[in-house]
Amino acid sequence: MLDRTDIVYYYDGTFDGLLCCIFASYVKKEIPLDIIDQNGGQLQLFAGKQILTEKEKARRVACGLRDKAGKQAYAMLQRGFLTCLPQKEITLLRFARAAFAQGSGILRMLSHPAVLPLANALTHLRREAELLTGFVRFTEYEGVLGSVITPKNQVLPVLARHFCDRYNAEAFFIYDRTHRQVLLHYGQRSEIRDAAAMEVPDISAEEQCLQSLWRQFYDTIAIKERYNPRCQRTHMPLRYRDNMTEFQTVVQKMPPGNGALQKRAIQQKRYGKLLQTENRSHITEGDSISGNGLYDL
Amino acid sequence: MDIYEKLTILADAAKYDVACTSSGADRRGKRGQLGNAASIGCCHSFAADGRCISLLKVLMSNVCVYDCKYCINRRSNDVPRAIFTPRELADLTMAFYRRNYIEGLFLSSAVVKSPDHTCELMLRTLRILREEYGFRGYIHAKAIPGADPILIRQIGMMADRMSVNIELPSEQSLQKLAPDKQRSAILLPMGQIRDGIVQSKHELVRYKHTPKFSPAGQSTQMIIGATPESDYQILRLTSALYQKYSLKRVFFSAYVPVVQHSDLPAVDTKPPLLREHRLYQADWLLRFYGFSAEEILDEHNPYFDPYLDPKCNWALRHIDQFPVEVNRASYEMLLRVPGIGVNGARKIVTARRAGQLDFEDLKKMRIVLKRAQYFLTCKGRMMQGVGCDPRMALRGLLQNEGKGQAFSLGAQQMSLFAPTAEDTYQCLTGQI
Ligand code: SF4
Repeated sequence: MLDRTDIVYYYDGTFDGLLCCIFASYVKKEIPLDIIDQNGGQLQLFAGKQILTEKEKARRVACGLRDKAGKQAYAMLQRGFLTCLPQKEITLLRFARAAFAQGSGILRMLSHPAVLPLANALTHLRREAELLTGFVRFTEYEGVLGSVITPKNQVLPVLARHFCDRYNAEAFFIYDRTHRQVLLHYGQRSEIRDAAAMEVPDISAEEQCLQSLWRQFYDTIAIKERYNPRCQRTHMPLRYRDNMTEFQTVVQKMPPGNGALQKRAIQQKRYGKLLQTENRSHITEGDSISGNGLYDL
Repeated sequence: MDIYEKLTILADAAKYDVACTSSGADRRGKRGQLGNAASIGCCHSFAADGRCISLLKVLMSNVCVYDCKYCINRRSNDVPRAIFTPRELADLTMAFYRRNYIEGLFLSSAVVKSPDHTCELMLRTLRILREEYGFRGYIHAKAIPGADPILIRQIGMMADRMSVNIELPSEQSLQKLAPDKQRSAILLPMGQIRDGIVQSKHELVRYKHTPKFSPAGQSTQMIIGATPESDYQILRLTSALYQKYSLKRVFFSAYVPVVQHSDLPAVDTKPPLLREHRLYQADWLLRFYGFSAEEILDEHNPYFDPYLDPKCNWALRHIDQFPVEVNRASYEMLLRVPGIGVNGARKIVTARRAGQLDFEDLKKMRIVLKRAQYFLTCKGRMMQGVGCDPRMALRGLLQNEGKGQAFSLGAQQMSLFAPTAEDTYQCLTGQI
């Protein structure tokens, strides 16, 4: 039997790391019980194998999968990595193995046990990204647009293309507080990087005025004879509302910090200064938005 | 008057306009300019009435020289009036768009002074947005009947979608309630816009960079429930509008009584939401499911069934054509199965190429069988415990619909069988 109930893989939490787990699974002819992110803070209860991330192995798996099952299957694997599917790593490993075995036909096997959970998770990701395309709200901080979201899936790579295209001439950031990542865009360049926290300055009187105009529009446009909060909730689940201007009544206050310095940093559009960034940058500076890591919807 | 007050008045006056979609235009961003447009459209918020907010929907002005009886902006009504300046409105649109509040502008207007004057104001606004600010977001503009065709043409060159309101479902009703308007005057710009779109498409084939005329097509809307037309009449009109004027969408607006008048329903009448809902369902059937108006309703059955959606209704009346076999039925026939939408039918057609499907597979593919189960077989068999018996199907279907909130049906309250939130969602996405 391939399936091992006594072995767990530990990896570094990167996509390349996962590809190396797939590599190891073929070399060892085994499917581990689970694949766990060693940075995830979980107690390492099981006997585990530490899978090292090696670029070359990752590349071989990526190329192999693309050759065998096609670009689309590989894209599913990449996208799957962004989802909030519980135990997504092992699901992705099973999918990859099925894709190697079946070739591109795997895409049509919607009810195959290795495909179904992934397909559903991808639908969830796509749907969440679609909703957020509309629900993201920017606030202007002295010429820079900023937004905070709390999605379940890692939607930033999916959202990036849309927002970088639409607001290409703007300087903006979208901070994903769930995954502590931020999408930065300025001067026609974009990147996604880790950021433990995000601090923003107070908003100007002018900005407050605009926000109240929007709230007023929002309240006015509803027809009271058609009041239907249930339908509203179906389309716009409550959890999105915390970050949306039209549902905020109080002006957000800035957490304590050196305001003047932050303002200056913003003026210079040097986001890096604002963030407690870690050096695990997903896209290196200077990469164009078509670079790795940003996907189409 | 400050902008806050103007926005309040002019958004309030525009709220009964229904066509708040931003679909049909595909335009990538351009370096240095603000905005793009995606053909699927985008909802930015949902108002307390559950309707999608996609565009900044306002009137240029609610000062009107006409006196349409059903309208809050009519000349004889005593309401606060306001006019945006083109600059104010363009600036507001830009500010909202930058913050991702909206997908663009929906610009309509009452008739200030004259149709030409109104169109000029609108055109100036659009010019500032498109030419001065380089705005690449979505613009939906109303053509004002009676305006100079040259003005309408110029607006069409700036807008993604244009619409002319047909207002009411029949000429008699229009005469009675909107004496200043003529059916022919409404149809004239509609025809002009249709021809403009066709011509623009031809030119695009020949010269790649000619500016496009209303590239996202044209739509219209009519008020439902203010006048006595039957559902069948309305649906026939809808279907004719699609055919004759190549419209992208026909929108229906349940009449909300705003005035006491002997020609209109009493002010305490509830808006006929269920009827509007049924019309939208039937509209999807016309546009995407290959149904004709005559298949859905006819002279003898001129009204929708309050209890059943039009697709279920059709299926029950044609029960001899069911059940259909999931693994063999044509795509067109799958589309006619209640509960299977365009997405579902596509999924089935894809998945069955990889092997025979049974009900478990359908469930796994997240195809909702609640309605469909009465009309399907998998590998020759119905779902366990289900028969293709019209009475049983009817009972099952009604049970399924039996949850919902109070909707009004004419005068009487219908607490059961009203569209559920899920139904409304289906209606928006068209997966019936
Ligand atoms: S023309 Fe008629 S419908 Fe339009 S705003 Fe004036 S009164 Fe209302």
